[in-house]
Amino acid sequence: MPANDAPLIAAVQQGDQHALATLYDAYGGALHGIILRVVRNTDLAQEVLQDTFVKIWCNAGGYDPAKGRPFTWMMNIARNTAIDMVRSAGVRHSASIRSLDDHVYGTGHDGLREQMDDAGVRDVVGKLKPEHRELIDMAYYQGYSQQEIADNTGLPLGTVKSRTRSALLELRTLLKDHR
Amino acid sequence: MKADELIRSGLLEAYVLGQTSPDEARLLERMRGSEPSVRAELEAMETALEEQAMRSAVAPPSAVKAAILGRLSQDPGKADTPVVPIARVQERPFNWLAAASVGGLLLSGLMNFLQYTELRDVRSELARLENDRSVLAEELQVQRASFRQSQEQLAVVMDPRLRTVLLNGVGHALGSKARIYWDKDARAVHIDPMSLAELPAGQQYQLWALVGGQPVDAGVIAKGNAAPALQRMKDVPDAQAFAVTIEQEGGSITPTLTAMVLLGNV
Repeated sequence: MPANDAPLIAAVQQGDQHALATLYDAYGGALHGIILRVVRNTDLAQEVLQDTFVKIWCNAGGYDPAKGRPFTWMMNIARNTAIDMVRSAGVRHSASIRSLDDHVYGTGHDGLREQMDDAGVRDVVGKLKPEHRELIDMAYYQGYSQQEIADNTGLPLGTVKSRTRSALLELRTLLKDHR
Repeated sequence: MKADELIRSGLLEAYVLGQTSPDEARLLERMRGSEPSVRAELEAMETALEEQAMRSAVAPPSAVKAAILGRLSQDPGKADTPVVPIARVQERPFNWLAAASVGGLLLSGLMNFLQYTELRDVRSELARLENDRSVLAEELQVQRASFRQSQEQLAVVMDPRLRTVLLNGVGHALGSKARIYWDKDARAVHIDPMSLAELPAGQQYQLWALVGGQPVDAGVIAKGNAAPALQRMKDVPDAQAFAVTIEQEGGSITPTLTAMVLLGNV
C-alpha cells in the first residue's frame, strides 16, 4: 500500500468524500474479494461492501497508524462486517465447516464462481497446501478462533497455531515467487 | 516475552488473522511499538495479506460506489467519532441551507409580527381619522347651512326693492322693536324680531298685515334659539300696516287685539 494512504484516511476523517472515493477506487475490489469469500453471496457482498465504506467513513478517526497499515485496518472492518453479516443471517454452518475448495473453487453459486474464477487465477491462497488453505479459510474468511478451529478439525490447539504460522509463511513465499 | 519467542509463538499470525483476544492484541500493539523485529514481522504478514487481497480483488458493480456516496450524502454524520470537526459542519452545503432557512423563517416571523403590529396601528389610526372626518363633515354641513341662511338673509337685507317697516312696542311692550323686510313685487315678507321679549310656553308671537282695515294672518314668529335672525313669513301682496300680537302657540285665525305688542305703518 502506498505511503499516502494514511493521509487519505485522515482526509476521510475530516469529511473529504473525494478521499473516500479514492480509497474505494484503490481498494474496493480487494475488499469486495475478501467479503465475497466470507459471505459467498453477490448481493450480500455488495451490501457488506457498502456498509464497510460507510464504517470507514464514520470511524476514520479510530484508525491508529501505530497499530497497523491502513489497508489492514480497512480489511479488518470489511472482514468483521462480513462475518457479522454471515452470523446474523444464520449462514454459518458450525456442524460442518466447508472449505474454500467447496465454496469458492468447487461447488459455489455460478455467478459467484464466475467472479471468483477471474480472481482465482491470481489468488495464491488456492495454491497453498490444502491443510494450509483450510486454516486460512477458517481463520481469515470465516472468522473462527484458533480454539474453534481445533474443536472443529479435531487438531490439537498447538498444531493449529504452528500450522497457521506455516500457512502464512507459505503465503509469503508464494507471493514472493509470483511477483 | 522476548521478541523472537513472540514471533515463533504463532501469536503474530493469529493477530493479523484477527484471532487474538483484546489482551493479546494490546500486548502485540505494545511490542510492535517497542520491538523493531516484531514490527517488521507484522508488517511483512500484513503486506502479504494485502497483496493476496489485491491479487484476488473482484471488481464490484459501479452502482455500489454510487450507493456508498449516496449514503454519505444522506447521512454523513460520524456517530462514532467523539469530536466532529467544525470544518466538517461548515463544508456541508445543506447545513448552510438549513441555517439560512431557519434564519429566513425567524426573519419572516419577525417581519410578520412587525407588519401585523404596524397594520393594527394603521387600522386604529384609520378608524380615528375616519371618525374625525365624519365629525368635520357634520360640522361642515352645519356651517354650510348657516352660511346659506346668512347669505339669504343678507340678500334680503341688501335687496334694493325691499321696503323696511319698523315696528314699535305698544302698551306694556313699549320699547320693543322689530323690523319688517317686505318685497312688495314678490310679496315676500321677512321679519327680524330684534328685541321681542321671550314668551312663556303655550304662547307665540303672530304677525298680521292690515289690508283695507282688516287684519290678515302673516304667520307665527318662530321661538327659541334655533329661530333664525331673519324669518320668512307668509306672502303679503298689499298692506297699510303690520302688527304683532301674542297668541296661543301655533297662532290664531283672528288677532287678539288686546294683546298687541308691536305696530308699524308702511
